[in-house]
Amino acid sequence: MMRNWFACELHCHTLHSDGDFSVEELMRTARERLLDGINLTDHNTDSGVIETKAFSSPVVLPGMEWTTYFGHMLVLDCKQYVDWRDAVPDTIDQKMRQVHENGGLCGVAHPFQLGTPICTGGHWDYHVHDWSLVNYIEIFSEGCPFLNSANRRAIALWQSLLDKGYHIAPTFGRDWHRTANNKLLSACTYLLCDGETLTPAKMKQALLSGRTCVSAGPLFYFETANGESVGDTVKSGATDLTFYTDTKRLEALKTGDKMDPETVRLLTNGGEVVLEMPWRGELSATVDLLPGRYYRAELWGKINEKPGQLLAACAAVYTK
Amino acid sequence: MKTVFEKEILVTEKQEKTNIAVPFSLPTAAKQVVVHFSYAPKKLEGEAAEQKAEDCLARDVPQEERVNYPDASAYTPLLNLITVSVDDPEGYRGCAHRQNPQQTHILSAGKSSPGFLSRTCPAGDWRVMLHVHALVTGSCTCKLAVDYEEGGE
Repeated sequence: MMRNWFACELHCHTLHSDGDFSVEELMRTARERLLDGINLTDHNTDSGVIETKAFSSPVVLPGMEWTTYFGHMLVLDCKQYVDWRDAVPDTIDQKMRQVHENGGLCGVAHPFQLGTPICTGGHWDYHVHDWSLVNYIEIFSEGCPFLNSANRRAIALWQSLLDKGYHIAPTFGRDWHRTANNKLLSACTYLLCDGETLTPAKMKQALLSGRTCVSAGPLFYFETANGESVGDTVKSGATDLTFYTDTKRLEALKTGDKMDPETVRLLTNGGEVVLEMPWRGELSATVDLLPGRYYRAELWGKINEKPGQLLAACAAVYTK
Repeated sequence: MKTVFEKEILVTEKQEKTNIAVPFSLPTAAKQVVVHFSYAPKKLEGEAAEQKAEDCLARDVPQEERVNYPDASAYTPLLNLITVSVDDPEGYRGCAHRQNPQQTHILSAGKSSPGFLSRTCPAGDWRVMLHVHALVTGSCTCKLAVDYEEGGE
C-alpha cells in the first residue's frame, strides 16, 4: 500500500488542564495550521477527549501527559487508566509496562526542561532501566525547534539510545497551550502512514514503528530504491538512498518564516557522519550500509537568514 | 447542598513531591459533588526565590551549558503549585492541573468541570488527593471542602 506523510502536533493542552484553548479552539487552530492529526495530552486527565468527537478533523489520538514530580511522560491510547500518582524514579519501568499491557504508548516529554520549582517535574529524573519501553522522545520541544541547549541534549540522549540498539522515534512537541508567543508555526512531527487518509490507529502505528520526521517546516525523509524508509530494517551493503523534501504545507501556511535547506547529513552509530552533501532539491547517493547499525538523516540550513539551523531530522533506518 | 467535610491542611516544604490523600464517604448518590480548594501563599519573590532558581539551574543544567540560560532572576517569582485529583467509587475521575490557587470543581453526570469526567456520583468511598508539585514558601495553608447535592441516580 502507498504510504503518505501526515503533519501532526503530538503535544497539546486545553482548559481541561492549564491550556488556554477550549477543545473547539484547539481543533480549529490545528486545522488552520494544516495539521492532519493531534495528540490530546492534557496534564493528568483525558476528560477533554470526548469533546473532540464533535469534529471531523484533525484526527485525534487520545492521551494524557503524566505530569509527575520526576518527569513528564506522554501516555497515548491506554485502554485502562494507569495511575500516574505513585510513579517514582525507580519504578517507572513497571509503570510503562502497565501502559503497554493496556495497549498504550509511552513518550518522554522535553527531557531537559528545567525541573522543580521552575517547571514542576519538567526535567526527566526517572531511572529507566529498559529503554525499549519508551516509544518516542521529544527531541524538539516547545514552539521553537532551533537548536537550543535543551533540544541539543535531547538529541544527544536519543542518539545515545540508538547507539545502544534501541529503536526509538524522535518527535517534536510544541507543548501547545495557547497561540500567544508561538514561533515557527510550521513546526510539527510528520508521521508516515499507510494509505491516503489518517486515523488514530495509523498515528499510533507510526509512532510505534518509528516512522517520524521532526521538522521546523519542510518534510524531509529518505528512501531506498525498494521504497523502504524510516523505521524500516533493511539489508546491509551498497544501497541507493534518495533524499526528499516537500515544502507544500510550509508554503500553504504562509507563515512568513523563510527556510533555506543547505546541507543533508546522514549519520550512523556514535553520531559519525557518513555522508554530507549540499542540498539541491532531490538527491541520491549510494551508501555502503554496514550491518547492525542505524542510519538517520538531518537537513540543515538557514531559518529566517540565521545559518546553522537544524530544519528537520528524521527517524532512523536500521540494518540487519 | 450538604457538606461532607471542610478542613485546613498545613503543607510544608518537606511534603514537596508527595501526595496528600483525603478519603471521604459519600452517604448517598449525589446529583453533584463540589470540591472547593484554595491555598496561600502562592508566590516567593526576591533573593530567596533567586537562590532556589539558582539551585534548580545548577541541578538541571550542565556547567558548560549555563551560558545559554538567563540569570536565575528571570525565573522569579517562583510559585507554589498544588493540584487536586479525585477518585470516585468507580476509579480515577480526573485532575485539575492549573496554577489558580482558588478552585471550585463540580462533578456531575451531565457536565463536570474541566479536568474531570462526566458520570454519575454514586454513594461510597471517594478520595480527594492533593499533589504538592512545588512548595517554595516554606509552608502553605490549604483549605479543602467537599459538598454534595442529594438526589443522584
